Amino acid sequence: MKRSLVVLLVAGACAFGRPVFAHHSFAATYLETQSVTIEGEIVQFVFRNPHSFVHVMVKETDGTMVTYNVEWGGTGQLGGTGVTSATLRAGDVVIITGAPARNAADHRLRMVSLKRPKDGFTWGGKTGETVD
Amino acid sequence: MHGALRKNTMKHLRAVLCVCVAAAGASLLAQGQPAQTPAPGADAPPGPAIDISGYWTPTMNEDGMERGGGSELHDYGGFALNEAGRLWALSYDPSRVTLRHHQCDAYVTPYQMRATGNFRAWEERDPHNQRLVAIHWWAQVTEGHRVIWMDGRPHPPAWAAHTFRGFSTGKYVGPALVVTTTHLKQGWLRRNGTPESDQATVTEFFVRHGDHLMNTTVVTDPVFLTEPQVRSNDYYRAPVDHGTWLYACDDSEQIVGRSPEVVPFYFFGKQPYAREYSEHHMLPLAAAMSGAPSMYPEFAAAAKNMTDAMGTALLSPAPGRPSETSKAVDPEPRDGEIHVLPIRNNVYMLVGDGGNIVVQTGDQGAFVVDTGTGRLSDKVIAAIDKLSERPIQFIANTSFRPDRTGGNAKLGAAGMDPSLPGSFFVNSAPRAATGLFADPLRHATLMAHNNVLTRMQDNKIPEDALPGDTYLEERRRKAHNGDSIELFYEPNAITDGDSVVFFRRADVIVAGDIFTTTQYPVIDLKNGGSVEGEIKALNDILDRTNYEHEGEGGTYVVPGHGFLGDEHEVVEYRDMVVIVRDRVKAMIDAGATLAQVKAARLTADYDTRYGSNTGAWTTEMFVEAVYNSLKARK
Repeated sequence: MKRSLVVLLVAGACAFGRPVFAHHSFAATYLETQSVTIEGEIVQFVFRNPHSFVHVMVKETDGTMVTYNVEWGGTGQLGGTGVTSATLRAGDVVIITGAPARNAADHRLRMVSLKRPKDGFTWGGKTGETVD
Repeated sequence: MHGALRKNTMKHLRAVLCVCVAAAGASLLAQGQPAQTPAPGADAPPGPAIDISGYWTPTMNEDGMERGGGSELHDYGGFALNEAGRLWALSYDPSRVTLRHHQCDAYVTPYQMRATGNFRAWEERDPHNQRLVAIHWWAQVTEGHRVIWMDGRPHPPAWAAHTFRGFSTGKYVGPALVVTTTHLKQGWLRRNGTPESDQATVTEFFVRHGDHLMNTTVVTDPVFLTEPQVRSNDYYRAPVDHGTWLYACDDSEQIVGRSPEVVPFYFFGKQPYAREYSEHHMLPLAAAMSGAPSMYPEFAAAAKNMTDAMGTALLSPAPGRPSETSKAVDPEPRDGEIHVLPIRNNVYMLVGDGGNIVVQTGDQGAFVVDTGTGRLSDKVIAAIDKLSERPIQFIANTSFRPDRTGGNAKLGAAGMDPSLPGSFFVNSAPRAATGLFADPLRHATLMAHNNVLTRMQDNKIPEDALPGDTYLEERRRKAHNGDSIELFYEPNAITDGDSVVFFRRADVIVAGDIFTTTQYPVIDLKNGGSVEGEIKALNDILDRTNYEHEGEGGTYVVPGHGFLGDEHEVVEYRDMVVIVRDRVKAMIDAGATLAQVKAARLTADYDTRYGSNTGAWTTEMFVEAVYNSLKARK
């Protein structure tokens, strides 16, 4: 799987500046002023409360394969944006942009946007399409 | 409670009560309603002085960030953290909540009252006389269900289980509802890792002003705070049901591929984001970490003179100081009596003889796990006789240590294994096959790992106290009293003969000294213990537990010493052992000597909970055991 990893430092981070309601602290968990984009193949989509996770196998620049762990909304939040447990499946190639975790060893992102090139499915940016 | 802390607590409580009562009184008078105070005793009117029933929405006026996305890292300003609390918070990595056993941790009551989401309160009344039995309080987030008992019942004993909501009792003081909460689990004062220990107690004041409700929480935590922490939360009454009261939480795979050996944390002095908050807000580094002084107005002037060096010094344990000691309540009754705590089904915990004992009863004879020190064996036997119609049939020892086996001889002699006299082998078997005792008709069968027998023989323990039914490999199992009982061997944990006993149907695990709530693990290197084996054993226990709801309940875990736990207490203990192990290992890898490791105070964030400078197992002995255990492995 080809790999694309871009780190963007976004000053201000307007997209994250509004109140959100999480079980844990997003501010403490993620570098909310930074953005990372990954491209890879979905290994697992855990559609779950209070947060769903998308596990994506990504090929790093040195050739190693790394599983990225992308935190998404809960079932109710995602359901409100049309996402169901069948929206994603193992093997789908996706491009995901998100805020990286402070703990780099976790290879974890907080989902901001997702694209699936094969059918043009996108999530993120529209009203309600945020991880709270 | 320590004198200074008690004095400060009383001062704060008086002040808070005065403010709350004055505010409530003014409010009620404004409404033209005199405060209704119940008379004491049986003649008390059934109605409350204030009624908080209904739907409540938080106003979000106080620290909205805490009720939204969460507070910033390393913002501890206004919190009376002591050194242990500050270091615990600085060491905390929010990634820890991705560990399976932390994912569904609920909020402890003081934080729950402040958290986002809506609330609902309702009364529970005795249907026969309409007296108020309890007030229920439901929090939307984490499905936090509190019960505030209003019927005068006492709080549970010190050895009873803790919960995220704790055990609450309430009474009316003038127009205020005053609630006292004990038996809380370890949790957060803030979601950025600011800790609240399982030794915290909380006093709350509910005061209603028409459709406005004020809740003031006063947290007293001898482990992490130097002064009571006072915070207020406000809510307004919603006319209709908010709906959406559920908050399901299933743990799942969040960070895949991470070793179960990993507990995310930051080394002292190496927290990469320590300056983020102060730089963002242009504050001195020390300003958000100065503890109790930062609670008072005069601190603003003092903070102007704070140097960067003062802040940097707060990121690590203060050098050259002796270790702090545990400020936790001693859960041992020490009254010369044996106390029985029902756990689930037909399984009980017996407390009082210097080490927790577990008894399972049923149609067959009693199955006992561990026998205490033996000093109160006669009373232990009497207590078991009250629980079980039949004598003790089996005794399992979780290790050879004296607090596990001290009562073997007496409890064994008081028991009987009826499977033996009817056995074909009874008249011809060698003594070893019947448990090394003279008369199988009048003795329980003693079970343990074979290394327990070997260690006890090495220590010249009398024959009638020795286990005869031993095992060598991973597992010994037994169907008894309608349950399936398993003994799992944990090699080289506390000793080289530890067993964890699992009552599968009752869903109760007996951990022996692998897990305690009172002290650092007694890793007995001389008798085969190791820190790596201890961590493996704790993880093995966690592999067998399940929670019932939002990270608590479900499988109960009986510690060798201390209060009844569930997986939350075990995972906090596991985290502690892993973190200390990793800190010691890092210093060994850097070439540090034992003396240097001891001087570094690597347990400083846990010493006020588990530490001791005297007695049979000190903090220094624990650190030395970890060091030598790791050095021996190299």
